[in-house]
Amino acid sequence: MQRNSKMWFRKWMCAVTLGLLGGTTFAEDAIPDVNPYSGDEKAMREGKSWYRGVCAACHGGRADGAGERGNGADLRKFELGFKGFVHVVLEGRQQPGRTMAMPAWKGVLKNEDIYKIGAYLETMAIEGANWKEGNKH
Amino acid sequence: MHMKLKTMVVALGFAGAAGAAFAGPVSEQMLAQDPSDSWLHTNGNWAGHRYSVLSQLNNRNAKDLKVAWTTSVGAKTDSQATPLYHDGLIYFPQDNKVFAIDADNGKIAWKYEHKLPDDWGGYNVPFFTGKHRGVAILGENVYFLSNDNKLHALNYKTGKPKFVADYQNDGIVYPKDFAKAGDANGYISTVGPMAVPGAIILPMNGTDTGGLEGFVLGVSPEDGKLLWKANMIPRPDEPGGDTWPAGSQKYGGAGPWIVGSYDPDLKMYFTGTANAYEWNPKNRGGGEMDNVGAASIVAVSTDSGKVNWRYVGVPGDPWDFDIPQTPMVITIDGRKTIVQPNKTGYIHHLDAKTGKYLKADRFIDKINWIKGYDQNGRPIDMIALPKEGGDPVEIAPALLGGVNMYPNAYNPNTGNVYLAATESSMKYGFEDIKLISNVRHFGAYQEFNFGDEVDKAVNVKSGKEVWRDTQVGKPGYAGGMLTTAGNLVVYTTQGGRFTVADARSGEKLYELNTGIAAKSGPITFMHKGKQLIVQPLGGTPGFGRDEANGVEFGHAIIAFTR
Repeated sequence: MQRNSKMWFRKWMCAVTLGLLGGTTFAEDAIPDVNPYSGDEKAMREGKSWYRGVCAACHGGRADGAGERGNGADLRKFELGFKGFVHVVLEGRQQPGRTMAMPAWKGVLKNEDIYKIGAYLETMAIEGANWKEGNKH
Repeated sequence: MHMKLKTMVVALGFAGAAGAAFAGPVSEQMLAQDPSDSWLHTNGNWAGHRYSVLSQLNNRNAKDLKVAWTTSVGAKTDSQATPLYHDGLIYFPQDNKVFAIDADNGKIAWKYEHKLPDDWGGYNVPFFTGKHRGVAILGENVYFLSNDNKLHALNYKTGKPKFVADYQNDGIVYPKDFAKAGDANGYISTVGPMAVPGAIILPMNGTDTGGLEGFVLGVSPEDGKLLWKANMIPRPDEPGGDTWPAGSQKYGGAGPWIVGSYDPDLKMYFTGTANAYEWNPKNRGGGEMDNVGAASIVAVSTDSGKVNWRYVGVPGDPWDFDIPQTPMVITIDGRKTIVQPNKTGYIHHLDAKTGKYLKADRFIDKINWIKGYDQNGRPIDMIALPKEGGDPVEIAPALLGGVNMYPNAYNPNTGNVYLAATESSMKYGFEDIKLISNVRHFGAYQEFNFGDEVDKAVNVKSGKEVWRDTQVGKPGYAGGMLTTAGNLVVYTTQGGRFTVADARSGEKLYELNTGIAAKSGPITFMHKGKQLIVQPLGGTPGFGRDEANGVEFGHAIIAFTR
């Protein structure tokens, strides 16, 4: 227990130090293991607004990937876990051999807003989706 | 003897003239004709008909078609361009490159590659990057408009650039990475240029990636220098200028999204325009102001760039129902008429000279957003708009439209237009409008309900459907339509079925499952005494997820002949 606490403290110090050195690393390391806004009605409403405002163009209003700007991932089946979700949104994702890609939202969306989008998307999850497990990316 | 020799000389002279007509540099005279030996315009001719006078391939022998060759340009996104053909080479733009393909065997004769700027990027931008809908040809130049709005004049035999012109100093800036740039918003060109007497027409179309206004540029064929710049959205002192709240014009959209048409007598370029921006209309009159110029058909004088008229097909456009389709110029009962099948589900008819509304014929089964158009060309009983943040409303067709960017065709022999149509609906709602960098977001969202792809013939005069080919359970649009004097219509379904049908009856004469989605119109031409049909293929089926068609991302260009 004491050992675990020490490890946690080391990790925390490391995150703080990196955070002081560079904001983006801090942003990644500071991501909680689970979504702090899961089930929070107000946050989900804000997440819905962000989702519809900036995500739905590619991922569709139903989050099924049927967007007017085409071929986003089907987020109803998102399986990388909460931290994986935040990582993909921050860093973007390329498709090998293809021009269409998920743009990186680091420096554009605040982490808090990304969490709120995640909380909204959880409400649309279908079988096979994983929003709970930690960092699987 | 002397007479015989004289006759022979004259005959040889004619033969020589005929042989030379479609070889060597492209003259304005060649550009003025319907396509025969060559295919010199994206839309086949200036009038936008995609009709070839060739009949070597016809409804009697089309069953004997076979693949002449296949090739690929390794496309990394949708292939939307209709190629050109002239003097042995097929010209095809893809991924900010231009390929010249040998019509003998499909081998790449030359390739020109343009590198986009290092800071290229931004919201929506990966979706558009690499897509092009055509090139133009005049003299010894192939004219290519790259995504960053540069005009490249390439020697048609070698691909070497004569000049590369940039219009940033004329207010046409490109988009930048919005995480890094405070001024990320910019124009993206995906539409192709058109060659008309004295000018190359450049439609600046990518206006709804953050809020800009649409322009059509006229530039010099010699050096690309700007001759004129026509604003799709009227200035406050122009007719329709009072249909926009002050300041909203500059982000109001109205990009001329698809290659338009030209009439050499009226000396007018006709273009459809894209949706008004933002999609949520609260900053531009809330759907109560007409927003003339967006979701409109606009006529531009090619001598001066002066706008002759604008007709708004979707006043106040709250639905992203742009009407950018090619306005075809068809003489009906002695009147030069603009005939435009568009997203609304109607085929609009206007007087080409004045823009006066004549009629609108419904061409899809499912429409509920209006009950029709009145005698002044205004929508009747438009469905009530959703409330921002409230429940969405269900409307038909979906914003992808009854027809979309996939080209239609007109055959003067049958009197039919051939439509790459679809049935669909959507739930559509408004949210608040997010602003990131200087990029305005849509403020709207949609949930698509895709229906069947329906390829069809509609008599242009009566407005009545003549035949339909429904792809049951398979959503999307055919890549585009081609029709010929051989009584043929040619199209490839979203699911990749290349189809040659009888233009009058719709009877299928030849089919080949290519296994690749089509997003591009086919062309036909004569090469070494044989008529070829060339169909580019490529991209992901549908706009969004579309497993129903059972094909994956791919690319090919296929040539057919007998």
